[in-house]
Amino acid sequence: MHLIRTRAIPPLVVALALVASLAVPMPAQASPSWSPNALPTDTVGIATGGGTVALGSIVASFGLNAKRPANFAGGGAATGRINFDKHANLVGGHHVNVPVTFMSIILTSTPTPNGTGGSAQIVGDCQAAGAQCPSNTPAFRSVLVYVEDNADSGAGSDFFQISYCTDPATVIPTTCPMIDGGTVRTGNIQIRPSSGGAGGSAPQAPIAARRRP
Amino acid sequence: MRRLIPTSVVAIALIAMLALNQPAQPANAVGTPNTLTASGAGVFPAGANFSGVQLAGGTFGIGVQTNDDGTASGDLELQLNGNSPIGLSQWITVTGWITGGTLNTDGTMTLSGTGTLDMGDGTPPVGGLALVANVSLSGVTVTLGTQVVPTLPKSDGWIFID
Repeated sequence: MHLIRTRAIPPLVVALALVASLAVPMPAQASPSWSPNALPTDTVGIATGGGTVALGSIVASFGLNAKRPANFAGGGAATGRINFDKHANLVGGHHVNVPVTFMSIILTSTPTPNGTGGSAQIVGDCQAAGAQCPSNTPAFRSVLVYVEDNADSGAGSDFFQISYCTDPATVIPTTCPMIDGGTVRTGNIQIRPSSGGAGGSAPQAPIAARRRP
Repeated sequence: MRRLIPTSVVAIALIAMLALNQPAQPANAVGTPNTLTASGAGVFPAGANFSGVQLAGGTFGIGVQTNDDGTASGDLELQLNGNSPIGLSQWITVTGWITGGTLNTDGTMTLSGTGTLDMGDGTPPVGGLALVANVSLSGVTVTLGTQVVPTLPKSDGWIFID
């Protein structure tokens, strides 16, 4: 009897511990869209890309994502991230890691067989927590990425350009004294109405020009 | 004794109810709307080899958006540099048209799609290869068809899974 009584308490403790461990907090819900400024277009679409561009004799890698937030009701709000890594040891190196705040996007009226095509302006916030942009005086407060999706094969056809701007990331910036980028060397840009229904035949990229990164 | 048995039963029943009420958790992957953004470079450990090329380092650029149903849209690009068996500098380029993506329970992301391999030795690129990539915050591992590219560690740049 004594043994049974001493065992009786642990199951309750175990039960409470298990209940507590199972009651894992649910993930936070995305906040509603925030669109304080009107941008040139309210078109819904997404932009993705990954690859390299040649900057003279140097190569830089980029990765980007931009999409409309949940419950988007116009105004240019966007979410995503811009990464840009210039592969050289430069003073005030051109390394960019910023969250996306705004986007204007135009979908082509003649999409590729894979259903993509168009162009987009994507704004990233250099002042966000953890963001990184090249050093400058006055400080760069935003970056503006302009991308074109001209072909499924990407390399040699698509376009990636990043501008470093002293305007805040609350509008499409206009004061951008420094620019990097050009025609996509390797990789691809995709602009499409939504991320759903992905598929299509994979294009074959042309041979990349030989350069040192 | 009479009070102890019902207490245990109730406790077990509560546990069972709560356990059954939890969302299903696949063994290794969940389809969720995530974004994977990355660009950077890395240095291979000594001995890394791909198709006879001794790999030294590489760069990567990735932009992928995944959906609840496991589909995804986006692009992956890797460039690997090394030395050929006869000591010549060789650049290998891997591009991936990503159509599937899942976030794994360990925080890594698995991407799938179709890839193109340019060995950089003068031969034409080979397209239409099944591509699977596993991306963690510390590196990128790509399999093209049956060929596994050694994991490219992230030494510089960023890998973000949001």
